[in-house]
Amino acid sequence: MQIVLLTITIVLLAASQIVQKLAASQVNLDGSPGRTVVSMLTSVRFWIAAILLGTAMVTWLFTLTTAEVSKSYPILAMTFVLAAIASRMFLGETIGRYRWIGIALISAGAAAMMAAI
Amino acid sequence: MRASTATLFLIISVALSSAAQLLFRFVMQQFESSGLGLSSLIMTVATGLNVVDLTLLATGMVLYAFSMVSWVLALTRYDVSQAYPVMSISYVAVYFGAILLPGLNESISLPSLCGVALIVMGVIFIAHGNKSNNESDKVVSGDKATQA
Repeated sequence: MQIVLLTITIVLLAASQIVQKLAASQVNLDGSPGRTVVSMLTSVRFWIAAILLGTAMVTWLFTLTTAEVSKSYPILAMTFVLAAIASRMFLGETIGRYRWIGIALISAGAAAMMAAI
Repeated sequence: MRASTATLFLIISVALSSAAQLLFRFVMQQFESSGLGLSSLIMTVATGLNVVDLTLLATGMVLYAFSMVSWVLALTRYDVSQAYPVMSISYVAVYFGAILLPGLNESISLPSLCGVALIVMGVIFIAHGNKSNNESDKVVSGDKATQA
């Protein structure tokens, strides 16, 4: 159960990150700080990312009923792995040598955590 | 935004998100032994949360929201490749916080300790990879730094 909830949380977080990246292009950095905040809050992409994040928050809270936070919170770093692979598949981004090493390290770390959970 | 201001926002973001996670676990751990299926778990949590629990969860949500705002503000000045390694400190903070805090008392073990170390190193590599993959991003953020 906790593995399923944790996996759903990670998928939602990765989706939110990709939409956050799309939202960042709509933020106005050339005006005043107030204008920056307004441009962020009026971006539809910002709110889609927020909804994904909010849903992830709910599944994460349910994960924390049975999973220790010291073990499960670092596993959320698998979000980076998923986001990198998703951006390669859907956005045509390339994954360089260092990022493959990072992906391998996080996956190995997450596997060690899963065993200890 | 000045570099020192952005650094402060980054540190605030790490501290707030770490505190929020520890608070979330502190509230939710009371349902540890209850869950069999998801529907029974949802029912148990929905009926079991009292006013104090809900206040603590709401406090955690507010901390988390401020952490996110603080993070976005820091990113207006810093590259993701610079910011994420700092953010990965929260994995270490939550790991030791959950082990050391009396309200949580989680277990420490060699495999999980190695796991945290591997994950932090992995985040640093991924962030560094982003930097060297996106030369155009570096130029853009360089321009931003010049303006600030």
